[in-house]
Amino acid sequence: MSNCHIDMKHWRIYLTVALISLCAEAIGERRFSLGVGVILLFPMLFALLLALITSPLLKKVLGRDDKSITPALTLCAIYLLVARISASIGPKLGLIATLSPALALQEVGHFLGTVALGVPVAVLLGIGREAVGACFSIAREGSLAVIGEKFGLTSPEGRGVLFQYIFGSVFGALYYGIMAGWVDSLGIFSVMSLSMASGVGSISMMIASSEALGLAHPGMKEQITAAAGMANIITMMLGLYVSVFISLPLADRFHMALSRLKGGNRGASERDVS
Amino acid sequence: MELLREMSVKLAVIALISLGGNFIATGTSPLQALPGMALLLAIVLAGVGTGRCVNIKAIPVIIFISLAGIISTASFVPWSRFTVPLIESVSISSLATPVLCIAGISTADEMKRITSMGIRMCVVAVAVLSGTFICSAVIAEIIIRLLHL
Repeated sequence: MSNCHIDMKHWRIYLTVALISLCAEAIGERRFSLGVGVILLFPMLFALLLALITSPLLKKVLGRDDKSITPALTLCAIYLLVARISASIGPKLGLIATLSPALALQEVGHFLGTVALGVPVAVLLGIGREAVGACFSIAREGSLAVIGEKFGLTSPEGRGVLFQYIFGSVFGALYYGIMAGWVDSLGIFSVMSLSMASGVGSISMMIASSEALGLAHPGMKEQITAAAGMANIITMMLGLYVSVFISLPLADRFHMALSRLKGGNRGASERDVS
Repeated sequence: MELLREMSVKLAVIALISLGGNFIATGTSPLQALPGMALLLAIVLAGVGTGRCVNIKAIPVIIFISLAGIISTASFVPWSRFTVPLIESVSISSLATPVLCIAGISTADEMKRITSMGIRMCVVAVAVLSGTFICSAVIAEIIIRLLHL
């Protein structure tokens, strides 16, 4: 009978997640006009913000034992979310087939933007080899492994990728949710382009971004999720290879070239962040 | 089996929270959304099970769950008439809220490390995130316009 025993010893964290999630849902959707464009905030972003804001309080309530199960709990929640997103793709396979040329080219090309915007900004700000680790991908788990193997995670490149990873984990979804809604409200891109762009390889960033688009275009919610979800699946499958063979070498050379241009000597590329 | 038992409580807790969130956000009663949620749980278990059987390290479990999810509602399968309405009774947002909530709880400690690396690295991080999104959108937009998709 011991197999039937239901393990509820982590009830504190379960209750915390329930309380924060339900509060976030109760807050609902909020719109703020920015003059140029609109900022949208919605329940999942409120849940993240509430969790971050209440963390000093949560620290007292939750023991180390509770925190130790958060990775497993995150995984279970992500599994359910992925199941739901994929179930939205099923009925829209025709749309996916239509969009496939865009999806394919985007997969190879979007790392250009990662490098082309990230590296110059980093060099302008005087950041050294950290920039290579930070600017070759949006740094999900796979990227940590790539840099860890090539440079080691304690190297400057390793510090860069770790920073990007942590920043993305804490603020990525928040930033994508706000940015996607804002860019969409500018009216430059079609909704489908922005939906596909949402699939950057991180489930939380993708879902925040497509939720913002769905709120702005309620009639297209299912198409948006299908396109974003599919783009995300493709990136999760192929992104690692693109980053190893294309974007990491590219970030490396681009950084070296730009630092030489800026510093006028080879020493510039070795300068540290600190 | 051990893995399944360990996962089942957590999956059930998340499912319950999502049903509650779904009710608050959309007004769909938890009982009405329960069959859809049960189907989603079945998809997860099917995906995890397949992943275990195939056991190739290079393919993450999430890919198998995705495949199971797509097959469960694809327009070419005969059962999609039944599965699609069931699943649509559970909003995506109500499943995403707990994910970001747990992410917030587990990453709150990392805030210190972010501030210690300085504002310059934060600017770079934002540039990387923006560049990826914008470039992706530009490429998609060009293809869509060129091919009149």
